[in-house]
Amino acid sequence: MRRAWCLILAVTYFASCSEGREPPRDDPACEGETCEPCEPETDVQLCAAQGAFCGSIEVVDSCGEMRVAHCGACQEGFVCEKHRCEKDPEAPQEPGERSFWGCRLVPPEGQCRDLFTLERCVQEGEEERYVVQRCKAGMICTQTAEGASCESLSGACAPYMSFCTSDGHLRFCHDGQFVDISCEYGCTTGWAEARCRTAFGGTVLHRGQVHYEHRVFKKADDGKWTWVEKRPAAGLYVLSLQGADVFLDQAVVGEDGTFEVLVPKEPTADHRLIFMAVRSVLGGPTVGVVDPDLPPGTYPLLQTGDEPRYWSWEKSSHGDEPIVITERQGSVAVQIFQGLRQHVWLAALHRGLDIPDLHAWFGMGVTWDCGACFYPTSWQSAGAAGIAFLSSGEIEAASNDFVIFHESGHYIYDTLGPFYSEGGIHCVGVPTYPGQALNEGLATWNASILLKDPVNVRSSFGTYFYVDLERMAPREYFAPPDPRESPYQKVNETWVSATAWKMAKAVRSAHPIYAALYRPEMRPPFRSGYTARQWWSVDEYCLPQDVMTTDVPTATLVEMLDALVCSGFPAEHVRELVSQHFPYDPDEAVCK
Amino acid sequence: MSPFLLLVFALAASGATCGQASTAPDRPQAALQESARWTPPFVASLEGPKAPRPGELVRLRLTVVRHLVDETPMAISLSLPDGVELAEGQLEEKVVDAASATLVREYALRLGPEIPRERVVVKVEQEGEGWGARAEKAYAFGAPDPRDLQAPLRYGEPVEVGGHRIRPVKLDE
Repeated sequence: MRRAWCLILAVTYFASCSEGREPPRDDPACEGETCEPCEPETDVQLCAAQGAFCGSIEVVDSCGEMRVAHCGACQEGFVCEKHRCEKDPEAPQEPGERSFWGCRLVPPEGQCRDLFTLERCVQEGEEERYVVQRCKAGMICTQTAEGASCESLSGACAPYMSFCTSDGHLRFCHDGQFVDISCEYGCTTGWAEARCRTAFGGTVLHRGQVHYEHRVFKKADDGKWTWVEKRPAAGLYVLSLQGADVFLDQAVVGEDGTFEVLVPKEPTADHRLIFMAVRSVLGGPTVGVVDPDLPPGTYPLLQTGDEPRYWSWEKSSHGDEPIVITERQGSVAVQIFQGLRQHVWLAALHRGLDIPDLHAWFGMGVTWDCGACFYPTSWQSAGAAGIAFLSSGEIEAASNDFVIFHESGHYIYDTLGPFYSEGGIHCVGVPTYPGQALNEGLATWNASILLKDPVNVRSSFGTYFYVDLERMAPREYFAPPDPRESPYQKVNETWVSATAWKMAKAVRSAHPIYAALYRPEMRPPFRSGYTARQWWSVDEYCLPQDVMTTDVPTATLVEMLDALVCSGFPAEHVRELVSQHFPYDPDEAVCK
Repeated sequence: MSPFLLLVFALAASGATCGQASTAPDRPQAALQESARWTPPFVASLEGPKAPRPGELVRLRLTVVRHLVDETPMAISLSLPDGVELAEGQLEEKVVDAASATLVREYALRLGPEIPRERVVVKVEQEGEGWGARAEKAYAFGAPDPRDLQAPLRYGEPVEVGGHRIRPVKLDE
């Protein structure tokens, strides 16, 4: 299925490139005596033809008249620069960009948060301010010893890679080199590829906004534990369709929630804008959220209905009001989509684009019997080959970023690190086998790192509660291992999370820990010779029953610490944070 | 060399995966990575009669099963709809109990001439050093619990996109 889809993309891609050179157009100019009186374009049409989205332009219309066309104003927080709405650098920072923990996890020189995002700390008087910057189209974040910066993709041309440049050109990779095409009617980005926009008669360029209801879990000072915020539905693939199958245009929603597509000049009953929760990263891995097509209920893992499909939404009109996808309309799928994108971008920062797809499965009111879980093998349903991630349909599990980011953390572990093979039911606060403790502990750590918050808010069995990795509270959840015991003793996964959090804080960056995952020490044969355990049931104290010992080599905390120390992580931090609780001496690290 | 320096080369060499049959790794089927069971510090439940009648004395039973038994104070509070009187039990109390794994509280409510539309809500809260928990349980006098998320979605006409059939959720009111 994926091969067929790629073929379609390739055909579309090259077809669209040729369209980009000579786009078909209506010729509204009047010639000859039988013509009706010349009908000039509207301001909107003139602006669209010039690629102007704001301000005023002077242009000769199709009737030969010099016109001043008004292209509109920008929304709050944006300024008009060269007839494009750019983010106003003077505008107040968005609430999400201020973070108490942000600066404590970012080195002074700045760092890449993921493939497209740079994070820095700006000194303002005696205070540091955490600043996040998204690289412009065609640029990626790269890091050197001097710091991080957004650099052009020009040195990283790979087949099928295409994008729209910030000045509206189409740039695509051809024979190992980027080629630029000037698009007469602008460049649009699609699911996997960019293309020059085709100008259809009777259409105008519509600039819209789409947001979604994002559920926040946080213990607020006013006593709230959860609430809903409207956030930009960034990354959704937008289609403008006339009738059942007449394609007018496509776009991808920007990080600010805006998008631009051609729509009919006069609203028609059969026109619709479709928003899909699926996207390829620079023609590489696909990220998507799939609706299993099941009625509300609890199902065995992997069960789907007859027609699983990517989550999508449609709007039949295109007014000026921002579109909002509500929780009742499945906004949780958009929230999950945001989390998945961030994880694939993070994996791509470390490993390039040759990484697995990441799909989440979410259904309204649908729960699989594993609760929320990560299933690392290919799942072919809905053509969504690649690694799948399942989430419980209950709103308080499915929409909790700590849950979404924990499960996506398993994708990071599997993509960067060794394949995970140990598992079974496990409970926070109950020490578990060392392979699972490492993987689960790092998944929780990953959630706190990316959410910049050591306080995990959870809800289960109708109770909201929070635990704090920084303060390791409540202490019953964070009981450390015993330094007198074997290094392959059962370990409390939350202790692993908290210890990794403190290590990242000690060096003001999480990247050494992510990078350690793909060090040779984390590849078999492992130093320990430890092999995975598997079990399917636990007793009333959550102790595994009928444990099976496999012959699959599995990494443990020992290999992870070796990888860290061997990559240059300061031994004194390992000694201080680990050795007093766990039998590990950084001076005896075994490097490969 | 720093892994970050390798990024551009990795991108260049990745040969963007679209031409491959699948990016899924060819690995043996592995154990499921199930989310950890995050056992809350306590779990509360509230039980009452399924079909109470106007004017009746309704008995509610709150059970708090504690997984974290310590001296952290636990606040229990009850809010009643108009027309309902508390005949037995406390509207508010603070419990300090470092021994009991289960707490049970019983309440008797005197109903007025009509079954209330509002629900009785019991809150159980704890705020410890670096942790906290809250459960809110409701009794609806026999009415079913609202399940907002399970409201049926309204779908538009199916459409084929790149070989994938989708059924968009309608956003129009």
